[in-house]
Amino acid sequence: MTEFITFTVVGLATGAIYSIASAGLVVTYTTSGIFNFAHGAIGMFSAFLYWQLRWDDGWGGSWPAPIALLFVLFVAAPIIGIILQIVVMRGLEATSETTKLVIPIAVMLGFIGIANWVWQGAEQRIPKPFFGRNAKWSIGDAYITWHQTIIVIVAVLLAVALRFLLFKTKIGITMRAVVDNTSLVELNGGRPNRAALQSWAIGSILAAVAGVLISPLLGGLGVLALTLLVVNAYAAAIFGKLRNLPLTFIGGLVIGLSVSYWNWISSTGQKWPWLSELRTTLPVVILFFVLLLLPQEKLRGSHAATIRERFAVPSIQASLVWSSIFVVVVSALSLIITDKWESLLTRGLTMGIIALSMVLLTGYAGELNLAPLAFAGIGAISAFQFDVGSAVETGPGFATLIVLLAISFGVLVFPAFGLVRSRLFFAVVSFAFIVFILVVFFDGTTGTGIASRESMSLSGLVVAALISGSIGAVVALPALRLRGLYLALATFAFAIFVDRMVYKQRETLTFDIPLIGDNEDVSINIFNNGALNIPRPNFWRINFAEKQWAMLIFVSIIFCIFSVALIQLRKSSYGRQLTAMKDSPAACATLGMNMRRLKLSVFTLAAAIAGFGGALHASNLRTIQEDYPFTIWEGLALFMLTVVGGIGYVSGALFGGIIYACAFIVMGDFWGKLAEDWGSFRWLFTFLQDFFLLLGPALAGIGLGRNPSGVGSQIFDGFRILKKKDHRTVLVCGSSLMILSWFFRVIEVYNGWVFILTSLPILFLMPLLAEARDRDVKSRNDTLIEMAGIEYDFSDEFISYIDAELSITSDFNVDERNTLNE
Amino acid sequence: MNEFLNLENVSVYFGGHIAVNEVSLAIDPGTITGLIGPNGAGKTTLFNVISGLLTPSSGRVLFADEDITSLAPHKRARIGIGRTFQKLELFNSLSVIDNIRVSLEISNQWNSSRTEILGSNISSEIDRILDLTGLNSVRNSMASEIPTGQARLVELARALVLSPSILLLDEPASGQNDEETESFGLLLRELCDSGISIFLVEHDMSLVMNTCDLVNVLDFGSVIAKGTPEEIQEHELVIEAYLGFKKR
Repeated sequence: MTEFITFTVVGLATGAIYSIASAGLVVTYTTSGIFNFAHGAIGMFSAFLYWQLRWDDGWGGSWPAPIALLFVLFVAAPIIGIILQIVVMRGLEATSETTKLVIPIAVMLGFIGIANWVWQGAEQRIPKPFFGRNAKWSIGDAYITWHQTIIVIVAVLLAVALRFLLFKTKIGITMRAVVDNTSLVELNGGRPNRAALQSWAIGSILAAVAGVLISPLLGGLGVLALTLLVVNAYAAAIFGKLRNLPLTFIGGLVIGLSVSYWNWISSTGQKWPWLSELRTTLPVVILFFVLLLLPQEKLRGSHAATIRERFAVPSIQASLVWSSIFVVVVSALSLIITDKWESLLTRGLTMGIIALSMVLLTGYAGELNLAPLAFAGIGAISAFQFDVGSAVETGPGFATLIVLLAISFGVLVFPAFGLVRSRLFFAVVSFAFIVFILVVFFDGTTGTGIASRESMSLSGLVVAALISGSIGAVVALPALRLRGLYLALATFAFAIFVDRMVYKQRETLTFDIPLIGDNEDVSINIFNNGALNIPRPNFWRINFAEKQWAMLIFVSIIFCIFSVALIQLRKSSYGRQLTAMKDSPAACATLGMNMRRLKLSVFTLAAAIAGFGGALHASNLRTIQEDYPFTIWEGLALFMLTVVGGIGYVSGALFGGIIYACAFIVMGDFWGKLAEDWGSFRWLFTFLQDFFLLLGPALAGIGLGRNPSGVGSQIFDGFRILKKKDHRTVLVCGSSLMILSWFFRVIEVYNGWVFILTSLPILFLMPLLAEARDRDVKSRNDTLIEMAGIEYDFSDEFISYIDAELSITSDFNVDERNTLNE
Repeated sequence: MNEFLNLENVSVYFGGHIAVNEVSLAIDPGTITGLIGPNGAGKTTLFNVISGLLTPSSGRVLFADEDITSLAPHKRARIGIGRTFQKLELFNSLSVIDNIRVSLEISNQWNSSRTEILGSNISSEIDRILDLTGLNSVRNSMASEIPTGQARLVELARALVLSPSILLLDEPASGQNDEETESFGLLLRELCDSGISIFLVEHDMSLVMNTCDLVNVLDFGSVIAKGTPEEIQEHELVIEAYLGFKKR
C-alpha cells in the first residue's frame, strides 16, 4: 500500500507537469493553428534560466526564489512568447503544413543551440526542489515532498484559471473566436493579432512553469533531456485533440501515472531488461497509440490556391544532363580536394540520399515524416546485422526472411503502380526471386556465412532497404487515417521510440522463422554495446575502404540514379496520383481513389530509400553510435534543411544533405582557424564559430519563411538565364575559365584557397553578367521605340524591325503603307 | 438509367448549430435538378453529405435504392456519384491536361472494365473531354494559373472522367461571364441528354431557371419550396427568403 501511494503520488506529480505543459500547447495551437514544437525547448530554457538566477556561481546566482520565479515566469517567458509570435510565427499564414511545422522545429533547435552555448561545459547543474529535499509530509508510511504537493496544487490552480480565462473573460472569448474565424473577429472589431500575442505569452508561461517544476525531479539539468521531457506532454495534448483542455489535463495525468506504475511493476526497468527503456518511452508509445485510435480525420481539400509553395518538375532530359554534369564535377573535384573534404562531401551526399526519401514522401506526396533518420538507422543496423553482426544459426534463415520481406514489399508497393492480379503476382514473384538470387548466389547461405564479412555487400544494402521499408509500412498505419500534424507527431513518436528502444538496446533478441531450423534461427544483438562497426563496400575490385575518392564518386552516382528515378516517378501516373493526393485529398476521394493503398506504398518506398541511404551513410562513416548520426535531433535538422533547400525538388535533398553534413562544420572550422591565427580577435572568431555551429541550422530554418519553395529552386532559377542562346558566350567563357582554374589546381600551380577564390566568383558572376547583358539589350530596345525619329532615323530598317516585332508580314505592310501615304 | 438519388430526413448539426434540418428530396434520373438558397442555407453541406465527405447526424442517403449513408467517399464515386466543389479543389501542381489525365488514371485503377475498353486510348479520351468542355485552349496551362471560370470547367471535366450517373455541381457558373454561362447551360443540357442526372447548386438565377427541370429551395437548413422554375419564381416563401420581406 505504501508503495502504491508513493508511486501514485510520483505519477500524479509528473502527470500534473505534463498537463500544465500540454495546456500551454493547446492554448497556442487553438489560437494560431501552429503546433509549437519549440514548447519543450522554452520549458528547458526557462529551467536553465531559473537555475542560473538561483544557484550559479557567476551571473545571478543568489536571487531569492520568489523573485527568480517572478522573473522567469512573468518577465522572461512571456517576452519569449511574444517575440516568437511577432518575429517568427506571424509570417506563417498561408504557408503549407510542412512550413508551419519546420519553423517551430527550427526555433526549437535554436533554443537548444543557445542553451548549449550559454550553459557550456560538463558542470553538473542540479536544481533543488522547493523547500529543499527534506521538506515532506506523509500519508501512512508514504512520504510526499512539498515539491510534489506544490506541483499538484499549481496544476489545479492553473486548470481553474485557464478555464476562467477562456470562458469568462473578454480576452479568452476573443482567443477562442480567433480559432473559429479570424476574419469574422476582425470584422467585429476584435484584434486577432493581439489575441495571438496573448496566447503565445500564456503558452510560453505554461511551458516555463512546467520546465521549472520538472527540472528538480531529473537530477541534473540536461538540454536535450529536458526538451524531450516536455515532448511527453504532446501525448496529453493529443488526448484533448489539441482543443479540449479538461481532456488534456486528464491525458497528462494518465501518462504520468502510467509511467509511474510501469516503473513500479518493472522495478524501474530492471525486470525485463530489453524493455528497460520503456520507462522513458512509454509516453511516446501512448502518443502513437492515441493517434492510431483517433477518429478518422474529415477529408478536406487544401485550397492550395492560397499556398505559397510551388514546385515545378524538371524534364527527364534535363535531369539526365544535370546528373551527368554533377558526377563529372564531383569527379573533377575529387582530384583536387583533400581526404577530409572528400569525406565531408561523401557524408553530405549519403545524407542527400536519405533526404531524397523526404522529397518523395513530403515533397511529392505531401505526407510528413519527422523520423527520416530513424529509418536510416534501421537500414544501417539491418545492413550491419546482415553483413557482420548477427548469429545465424541455420543458413537458410536469413534468405527465407529476406524473401518474405521482398514479397511483402512487392505486395505493398506494386499495386500502386497499377499492377493487379496476374501481373501483380508475376511482378512480386520475380522481385522476390531476384532478391533471392542476390542473397544466395552472391552471399551464400551456409552456416554463419552471411555475417562476419569484412565488407558491405550489395545485398546488405538491399536488405537494409527491405527491412526499413517494411517497418515504414507499419509506421504508416496512422498515416492511413491521419495527415499533417498528427502524422508528423506519430512519426516523431516513432523516432523517439527508435532512439531509446533500438539504439539503446543491449539485449540479444532471438527470432524463430517458421518451418526453418530450430527455434532460434536468428539471434541479434541490435546495438552492440552502443556502437556498430559497419564496413565499406568492396565491389568491382575497388577497395572503397582505402579510397575515399572512389566512395565519393560511387555515392554521387547512386544519388544521381535515385534522383533521376524519383523525377521519372514524379512524371509517371503514380507521381501524378501522389501530387493529386497532396493537392486535394477530397477531390481524389470523389474520383474514387483509395488513398490508403497509395499512402502505404509511398511510405514503404520512402522508408526503403531512407534505409538504403542510411546503410550507405553508416558504411561511409564506418562506425555508428547510439547518439550519432541517426538521432531524432539530427533527423529534425536534416528534415528542416531539406525543406529549406526545397523539399519538392531533388536539388533540395542535395542542398539539405550537403549543408547538413558540411556547411556548418566548414564554417565553424573556418572561424576556429581564424581564432587560432589571430589571437587578438580570438573572442570574436570564437563567437562566430559557436554561432555557426550551434545556431546555423536553426537560423537557416527560420529564414525559410521568406521563400517557402526552397533555396534550391532559387539557385537553379538564377542560373537558368544561361540556357538562353544569347548568353552562350558567357557560359562557354565562364566554364572554360573555371576548368582552367581547376587545371592549375590539378598541376598544383596554386593551393585550394586560390582555386576557391578564383572559381566561385566566376561561377556566380556568370548569371549576373548574363542578366546585365539582358538589361542592356532591353534598355537599348526601349530607347529605340521611344526615341525613333528623334535620336534615330525613322529608317526602313527600323520599320522592318518593328514589323518583325509585331509579326506583320512585309508584303502586306508595303501595300498598306503605300495606301496610307497616298 | 434507373439509378436515382434519395435523401430521407437528413439532418446535420455542427455543435449546437443546425446546418441541415430534416431535408428530404429526390433526384429523378435524366433530369437537371436545381438547389438554390441564400448563403449559409446548407447547400454545400448537403452536397458533402451526398458525396460522403460528411456523415449526417441523422437521416439516410439512398442511391439506386441502396443505403449509402455510411459508404466511404471513394466508394460513392465508384458507384457513379461525381461532384465539383464550390471552393475549387483542383490539383494545382498539375497542368489542366494532367488534371484530367490523373483523374482517368485514378478511375482506371478501380474501373477495370473500362480500362480494357480504353486501353491505350487515354489520350483520345482526354481530347474528347477537353473538346466537350471547351478547355482545349488552356490544356497545357497550370491549373493554378487559369481564370476561375475555366477552373470550374476543369473540375467538371475531371468529374466527367468517371462517367458518373449523377453529377453534383456546386456553383459551377460563378466566375463565368454571361456568355460563358449561357454556353455552360447548353453543355449541361447536352450532358443531361447523354444520360447524366445533374444536381446543381447555383446562384446565377438565369442559369437555374433556364436549365433546371425542377428546383429545390433551401433556407436555414430546411427545404422551403420545390417545383418547376416557374412555380419557384412565384413562390411566396422563396421571395421572402431571398428578399427578406413578403411580396405584396
